[in-house]
Amino acid sequence: MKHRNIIFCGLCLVYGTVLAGSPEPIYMKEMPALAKSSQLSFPKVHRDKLYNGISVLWIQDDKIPAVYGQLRFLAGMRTESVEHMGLSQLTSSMLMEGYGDKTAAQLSQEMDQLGSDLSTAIGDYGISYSFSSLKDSFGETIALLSDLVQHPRWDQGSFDRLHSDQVQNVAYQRTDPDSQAFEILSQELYGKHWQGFFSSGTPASVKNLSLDQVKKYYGDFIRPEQAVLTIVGDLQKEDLLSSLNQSIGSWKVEAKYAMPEIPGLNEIPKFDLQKKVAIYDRPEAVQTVIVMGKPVKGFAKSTYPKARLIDIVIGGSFTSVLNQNLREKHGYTYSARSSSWLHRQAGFWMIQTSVKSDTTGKALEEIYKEFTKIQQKGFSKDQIQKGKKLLQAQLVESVDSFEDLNNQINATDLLGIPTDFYFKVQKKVNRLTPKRVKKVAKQMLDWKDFDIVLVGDRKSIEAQLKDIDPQVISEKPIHTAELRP
Amino acid sequence: MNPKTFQNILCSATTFFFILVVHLSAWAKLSIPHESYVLDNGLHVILHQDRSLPKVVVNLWYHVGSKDEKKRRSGFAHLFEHLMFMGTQNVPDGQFDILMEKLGAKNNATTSFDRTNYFSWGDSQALPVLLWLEADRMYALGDNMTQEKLDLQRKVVRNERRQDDENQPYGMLMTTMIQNIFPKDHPYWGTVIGSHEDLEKATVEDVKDFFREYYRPDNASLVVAGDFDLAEAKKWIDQYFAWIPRGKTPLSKAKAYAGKWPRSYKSISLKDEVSLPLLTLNYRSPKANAKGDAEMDLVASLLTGGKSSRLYQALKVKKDWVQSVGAYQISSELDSMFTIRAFIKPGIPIDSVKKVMDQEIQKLIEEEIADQELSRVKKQYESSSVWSLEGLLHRADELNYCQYHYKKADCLEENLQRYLLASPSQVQSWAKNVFSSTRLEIRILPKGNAS
Repeated sequence: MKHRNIIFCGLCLVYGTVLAGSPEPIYMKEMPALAKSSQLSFPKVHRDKLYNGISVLWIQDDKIPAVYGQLRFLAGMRTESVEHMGLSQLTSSMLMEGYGDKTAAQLSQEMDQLGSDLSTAIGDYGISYSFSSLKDSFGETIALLSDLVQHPRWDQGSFDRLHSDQVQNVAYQRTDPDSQAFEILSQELYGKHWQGFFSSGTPASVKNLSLDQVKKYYGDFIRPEQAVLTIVGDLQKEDLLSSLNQSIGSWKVEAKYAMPEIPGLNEIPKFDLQKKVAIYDRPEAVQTVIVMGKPVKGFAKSTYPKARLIDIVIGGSFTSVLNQNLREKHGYTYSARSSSWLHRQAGFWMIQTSVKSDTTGKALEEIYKEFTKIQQKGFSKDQIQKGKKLLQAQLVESVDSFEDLNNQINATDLLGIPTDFYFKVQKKVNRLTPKRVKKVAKQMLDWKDFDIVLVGDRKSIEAQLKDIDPQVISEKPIHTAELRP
Repeated sequence: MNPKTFQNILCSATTFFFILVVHLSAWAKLSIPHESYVLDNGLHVILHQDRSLPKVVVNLWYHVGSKDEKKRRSGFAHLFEHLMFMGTQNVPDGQFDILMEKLGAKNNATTSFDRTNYFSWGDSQALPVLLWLEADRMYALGDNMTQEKLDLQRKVVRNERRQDDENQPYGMLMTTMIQNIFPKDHPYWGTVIGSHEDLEKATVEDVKDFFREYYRPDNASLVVAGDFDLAEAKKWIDQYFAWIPRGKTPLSKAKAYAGKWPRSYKSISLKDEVSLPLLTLNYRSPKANAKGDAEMDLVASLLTGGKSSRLYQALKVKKDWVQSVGAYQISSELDSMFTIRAFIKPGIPIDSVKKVMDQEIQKLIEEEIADQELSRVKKQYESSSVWSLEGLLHRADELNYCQYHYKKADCLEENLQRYLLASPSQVQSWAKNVFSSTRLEIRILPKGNAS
């Protein structure tokens, strides 16, 4: 069909044909031919070492006269104990409260004067400083970062304030229906493993955190031996390394350092095999948040292409199976999607949507029907082809901004895969067919493996669950969920 | 997993407006190279070539927003935005997205008080298709509207309202603010999302009328940005858009409000499923790009931009009374709003926080602003201007923003200068002007909170 369209359009252009009674040219009836496509590859990542051994992974990019980077330390949520969950988050906030004898306000003024930005964040596997600056102020910005990371200011007043902020953030999350749903799903899937918690912790775990614990965390993990620098921007190698060596590169390394032993650090979580329907009551809520999740094995190069392709077809775009059904066919929701969280040790695959309260049961039935249909019949060629194209397009998005590039370097580094892994794996994705993904799809969409969390008006939800196809609930016991104290 | 925080919600409530402000101040030395022209049918075309990635963006602004809605049709402009994806004869129901995604391209749209923008992006090979899809619906959407399509998208939009406003902590703040700061006969009264009641009333005829009146080449501007050959792009634009006739009916656009503004506002208290009380002080402020608009942006930064800012120091550092505090100039074409918001920690009387806010406002009005303090704030604007030019999607929208507000595609330098040339006394004078005007106070209290 495509080829015929091209010829047809060519004729239209020559004769300028229009439809009778309408100014619309006939060539508007057919989709035009595509333009020429150009190749995309992941930009070259340079690897250098500073005087003290810190690795620097960097990309030269002069799109704008600016620089973005991250200084990452291996730590993060996985190093936290259940009793003190939230410590990484609190430490990360505390690290922006000034340095040496400079207060947080003075630090903020210094950043403003440079037109630069410094911030901290935590992830599951790391705690990091992010920095951005104009090209001309990169040297000064990195010097400021170096002071900040080496000489944090441990002010009890600042700690008390941040501690109180975190307690309130935890309380806020517990009023937000999406957060409530995700937190309960994490609990249901992972129990007391660290992946069963939010980074901000629980009311009980945050309550007793102390400045001493924050200092110890800093001493244990925020160290040059644990650091990796990733930088993208308008820089030349000599200038970059010179600025870095004069600052971060002079941070003293201790040869004897070893990361503290953390019980269960590399333990693969044990999943609760009894899958449930958990209802969290929000009386009179106008919508029900539906999240469904199932545990999957940690990131594996071999399973990634098929799982990713299935994910994007099921819920990764506007025309995905879920969004087309729940939004465009039935109007139950504003959006429906799927996503996956993958670490080295474990991960989970998740479906999420918010539906009008009185359509909760119908929406669950529709998801069930779609999954069952795909399990039985597989995907169509069109669905698989679209998924491949969308994944290809995501590669472009993944190298769009300096921050995107940084995130790619960091994410691949943490998973221990090459920085251009996703670009290379696209070739494998492009070879997939409906038949070749059928087996994995069958496993991924197996209804019995899902925990279902429903956050909304309990009475209304319970009444609807009684009326729907019993297969939707199948063997899953229904219980009223509570958030951890 | 990193969850939502108060800082997120402070930002998310104002993200749309804030992004425009940041973009406004793009660095003069970094203008966006472009070529612009007007088709015979009145469509403004702006081309910006950037071949660094195999990516293209098509960004189309229709110069119609919620301000142009008829009475008792609140939410119509936004509902219409949804209907624009519902298909024509050439591209039947649902095919718009399916065709696009088959090529790995995506799209979205947003509606504000003043305009509606549609943008699609994807691999450069998709450009002719993206242009064809936009042109097709610019011409043919109205004739293909049906009751079924309208009913479905009405449901979706009502769910959007439930999800973003009604089922969110503090979700009704913006609606309350807009419906109280603006008089009932002001074009901005109501909300962009609309009321359930008005959304239910919309008819297929309303849709067709709205399309005929506003969705036409002489009421739109088209930006194509990214990796394309200039001559080819011009050829495609000519081929797909040039034949579309100009609109035949007169365009009725909302005019500057000439009615009476309230002399005073009644304080409003709402109860919600929230953990902390929220206090907001809201004012009318200078409209987008008018004198005083940039100055009020600078005032917002002086008050709450970073840890050395005045209200952060007063309310968080000297007294640990608030969880977070933010100030924003929310700029729009006819009138703007200036808002200060604070989430108050448990046990702290709201009036004590208000008193400190008032003291800081008073200081800003009465005491000279140090050059150094203002320079720091301006430096951040300069810097963020550079960063705002990083993404192709942003650049495309920026060009259309300039075309709409400045009647030329390149307004970057002019915009930044508004910030850089603002003197301490001008900033102070505008702060005095705005803060001396009538103020609307809104409190959102946790359910069960007696105060």
